[in-house]
Amino acid sequence: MLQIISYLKSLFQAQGAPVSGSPSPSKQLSHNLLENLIYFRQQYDGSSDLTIRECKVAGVDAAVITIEGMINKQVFATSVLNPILQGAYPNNEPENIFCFLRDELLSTSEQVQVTSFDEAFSLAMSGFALVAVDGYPAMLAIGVQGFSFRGLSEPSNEVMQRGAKEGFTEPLRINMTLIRRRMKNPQLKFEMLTVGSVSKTAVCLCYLRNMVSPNVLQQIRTRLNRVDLENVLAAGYLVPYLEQEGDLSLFSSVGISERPDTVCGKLAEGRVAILVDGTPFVLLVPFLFVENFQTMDDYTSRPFYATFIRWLKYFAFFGAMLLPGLYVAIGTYNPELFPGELLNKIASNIASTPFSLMTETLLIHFIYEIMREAGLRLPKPLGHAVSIVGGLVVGDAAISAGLIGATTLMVVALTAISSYVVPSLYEPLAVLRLAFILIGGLMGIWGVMLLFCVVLINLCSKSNCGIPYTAPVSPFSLFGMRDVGVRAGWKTLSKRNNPVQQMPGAHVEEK
Amino acid sequence: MMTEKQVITMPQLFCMLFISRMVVDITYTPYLAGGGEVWDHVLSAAISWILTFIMVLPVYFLYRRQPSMTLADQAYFLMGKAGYAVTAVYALYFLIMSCYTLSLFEVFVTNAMSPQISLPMLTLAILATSCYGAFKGIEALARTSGFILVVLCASIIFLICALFPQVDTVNYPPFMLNGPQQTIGGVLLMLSRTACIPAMAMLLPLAKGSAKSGIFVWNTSVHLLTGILLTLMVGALGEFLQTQLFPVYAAASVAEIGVFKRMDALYLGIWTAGLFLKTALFLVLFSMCVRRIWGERAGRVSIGVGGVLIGLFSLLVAHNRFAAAFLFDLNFLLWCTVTTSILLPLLLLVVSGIRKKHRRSHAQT
Amino acid sequence: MSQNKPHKAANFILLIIVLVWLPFLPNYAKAPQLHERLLVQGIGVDMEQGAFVVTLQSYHALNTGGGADVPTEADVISGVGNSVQDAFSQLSRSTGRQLMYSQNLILLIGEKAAQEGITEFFDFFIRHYETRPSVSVAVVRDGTAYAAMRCKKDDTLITAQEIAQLATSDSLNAASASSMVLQMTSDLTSSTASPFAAALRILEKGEDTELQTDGTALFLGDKLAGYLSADQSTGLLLMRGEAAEGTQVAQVEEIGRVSYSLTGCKSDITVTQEDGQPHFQIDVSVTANLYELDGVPGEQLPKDSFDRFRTTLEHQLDALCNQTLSACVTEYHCDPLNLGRHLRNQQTELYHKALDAWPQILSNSSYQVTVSARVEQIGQETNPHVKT
Repeated sequence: MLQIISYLKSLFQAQGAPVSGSPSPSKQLSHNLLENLIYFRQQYDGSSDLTIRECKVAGVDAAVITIEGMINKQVFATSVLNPILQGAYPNNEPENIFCFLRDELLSTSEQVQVTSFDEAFSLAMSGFALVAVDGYPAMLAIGVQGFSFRGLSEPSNEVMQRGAKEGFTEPLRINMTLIRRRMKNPQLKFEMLTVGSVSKTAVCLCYLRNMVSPNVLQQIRTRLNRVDLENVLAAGYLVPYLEQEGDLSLFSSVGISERPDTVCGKLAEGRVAILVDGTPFVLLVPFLFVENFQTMDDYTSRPFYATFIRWLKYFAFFGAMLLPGLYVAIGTYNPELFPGELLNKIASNIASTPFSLMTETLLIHFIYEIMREAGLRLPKPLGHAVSIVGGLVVGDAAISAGLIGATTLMVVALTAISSYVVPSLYEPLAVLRLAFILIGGLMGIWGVMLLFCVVLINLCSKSNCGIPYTAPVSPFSLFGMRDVGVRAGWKTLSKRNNPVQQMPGAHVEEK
Repeated sequence: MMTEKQVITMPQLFCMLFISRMVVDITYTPYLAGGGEVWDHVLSAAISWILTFIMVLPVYFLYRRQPSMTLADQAYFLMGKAGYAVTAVYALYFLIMSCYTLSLFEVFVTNAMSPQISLPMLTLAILATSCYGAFKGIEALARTSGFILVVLCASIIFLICALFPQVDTVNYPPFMLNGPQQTIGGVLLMLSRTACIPAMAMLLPLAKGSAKSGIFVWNTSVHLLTGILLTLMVGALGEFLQTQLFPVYAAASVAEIGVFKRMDALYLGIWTAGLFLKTALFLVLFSMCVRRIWGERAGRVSIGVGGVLIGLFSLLVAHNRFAAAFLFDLNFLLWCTVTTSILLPLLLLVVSGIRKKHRRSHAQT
Repeated sequence: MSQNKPHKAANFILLIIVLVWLPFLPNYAKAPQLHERLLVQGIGVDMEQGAFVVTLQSYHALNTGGGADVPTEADVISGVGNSVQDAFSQLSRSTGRQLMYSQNLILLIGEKAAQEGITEFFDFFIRHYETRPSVSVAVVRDGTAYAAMRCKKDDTLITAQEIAQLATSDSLNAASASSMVLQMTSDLTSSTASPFAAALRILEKGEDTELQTDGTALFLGDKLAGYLSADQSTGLLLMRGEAAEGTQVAQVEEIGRVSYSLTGCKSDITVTQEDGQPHFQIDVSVTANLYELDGVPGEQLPKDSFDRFRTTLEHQLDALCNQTLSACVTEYHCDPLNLGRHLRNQQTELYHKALDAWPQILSNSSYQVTVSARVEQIGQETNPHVKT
């Protein structure tokens, strides 16, 4: 009677009481099933997806707790509920019942015994079914995941001509499988963590035990343990925590990839991959600047072509960064650098527009960025309309109206296309371009060169986990150039490993 | 005893020193040596090459004595607080050389390049960038030097290839046609600008690798390149050089290959990067000296202070003839360089020798 | 020094520096836009009654305020001043635009100005930071730069580019020796060398006025001394080793008229002492191609024809070089052949002695010119016309 009254009391309180952020971290499960269920209901505050199936097992009260939509109901019914209800139990001792359920009755491959509410909540919300027996202070979490997720598809941001067409997806476990399938090596290890005090997002560290530096790994663990976010809803949330402390650079020393084959390649070089549940992007630490120019296609093409494309990317990157700034600087302060005929055309273009060269270039860039962002966000049916408006309005009408010059538009268009040759560097390029245009328009070539020096020293001073960001270019390593300056053939590349912790200038103290 | 951690390699160190020296060559003007005969300065380069090897010996032997201690550390170790005076001299020297380089660059820009440019703006821009580089530290500067070296070498190779077809051997007079004064003046000018030797005194302990081969390669490459550039300039431009205050710039303005013409502005942009590296490096050196005397915090603040001082003094030099005459005086600069390259290291070696003798005699008794 | 981390004090100091720097930016940002400048393509200098007349062929983009098709046209404008710089300043006052000299292609000097002395105005083109030493120089023979800049063909102005091409046409026909500001400055600065430049003549053909190369202008010091004819200019270029192209026509005995195209010229000047005076041995070697043999259709030529071609050419070029040498040294007392420089390089002591009276030494020196020619058989080992 007393128990019923307290149960009703708790229900009443739970309806009006604010939801507490999280249970006390180490609250253990009780022997009393009713208490455990009351606590569950309190924490979920009547959330409609919490499902509790109460039953009797050998005369003893039991319950199966699931989250609606997270489980596969058919598997749940056939592998969990039916066996529980129809099982032949040896006796009615709660402990014996529990052990019988755990060791002999249930036919699922994934079973975890949990003793705290924290673990129970986490597993329940990960698609596990929790079986609780009255009188036993533990629950059995059974893996019957059946939530809906997006199927494997081609990565949208890393399109390869000759690579696999599989990309990561949102569920963490699927991504782990994708990596394991490609790296059939027992040295491959997955280490699970949880980040986000509210979201409790599952994060997995993935590395090759025989390749990774223990020091680097420990640093990454420490940094992840320092994540003080409440919600971690995307991999990008963790990037600032994984970078070197105080790093204010535009460039990131944490790589991102959508491709399992790329990640496996990086793991083989001693890097650590961080998989975040709910995000189809995997983080890679440490990440070097030159890796932005390396793609999977480089390694499937012939070396001479891959080398050519590699250099094309380098030129495209520097062109995208410097071309508009240099154009403005030269056009404003050092026009003698232009050949005579080109100079006449540029002069007539400038004459035909109401803005200065710097203003015009900035204007076109902003318009382009607006169009790009709009194209990224708007629904697909409207994509054609925007293309037509953008192309006609910006491309043709603006020139005819004399608002912008054809030469300037050409420069900006070329810059825009060049910046997509290295998509991972688009963000810093977009900002740097504007900075170079401003400085070129205000200070000329001096300004462009000095800003370039600032960017350069910023890059060169960066490191992550003791590994210089600009290795193996500077500090220079001739051995490292086999995959930077050229893409050497596989016979050369396979001769000797080049783990990232052995990059020149690396300060990685091995314990 | 303060010892330094090796954070860079010898190739990186000498790369920085090479760039520092080549930046000086851009603003090379024979009139500072007392005349306009550039051809004799090729001979000066050869003589300077040999003399530089001799000049570097005291610093090298001092480094060999204690490879993990900079000259400032050794001065304190050997002379106690009196060693601070030695360190202070070096700090002042690095400031003076930075002022010298920047002032000469400003004179060059305002005379030959863009007279309408705002000097304070240009000075502030260079110094802000250099201070930022200095704050990032010697390791970052060393890594940056690799990139700048590639670009600088590419521009020099382009210049050489562009000038070579224009060379006319009739433009080469015999050496010392009008006597040895030009040659001697050239040697003194080149030696007075060899600020890299005092820089080595502070930086060698921070570098991993063989100092001997580094010094040899650095010295040879600097003087060889200087000789080649002077030879090509004289061959291509002849007596025209006597009308030019800055012959290297004049050569860059006539260098052309195909459609690549009138590239002098671009060259100067590239060479500005070298100036940034040199100024940042010397600010780091200045800061190292201040740190030795007044501690870590003062060392960090001194970068900004040093930058401000360099800026103010170089602007003064650009606008004041007396200050310019003082700073650009060959004798003044030569004495500063000889003091910091030879005299002070020799003094420390002598003190070290005397202390060793005393210790031996004490040990015997 | 330990690895630096961004420091608040350091960032603060840098911020102060940047904030102090910002007010100076508008100063620099006042640089004129490209279309606000006058892009000078050609400069002509004349001297009239002690004043300098400067003629510019320039380009400026018409600022129509709109439209993609902006017409462009070159202007010819003239200004007068007490110096060249003064005249330019007057032009900028009349046009309201800042002149941009870095695109200048040609410097035309009127005959009178050349006779007065080019050092009266040449310094501007050496000293100014925008002017280029690689600008071509030419002298207008019997005319003014003012008129030369205004020449029209088919009612179209002859552009500065075309004038510059004319002035540097020695690489096409060796009929005149071209020069640049750089070379002229070098020769002016030299104690012995004489500057020279291509000579252009204005030809009136009805309503059109054409420009044509007409030999080479020689200067003694900085003043115009005289002109070499087209043939003599070829001789000059041969002796300088710079005759890249050129045509020589000779009458070969028993064969007919032969037209040679000269290529691959080299020259070597050796200086020795004879009776205390310099002796200059000028050895010229040239390669010639035969592109025209007139008067021999269907006939078989003698076996020794190529020897005859060669010796005839050598004699002809020898005579030409001697004629040129005589004109330069004896008639004009000029040294466009760098004889003084060769003397300096090879006989330094004699050079020092000769410096004080160089024109006399030049006249009194002895010369020997030797021409060796090699006649190419136009890629064919045997010529069908020649008997084997």
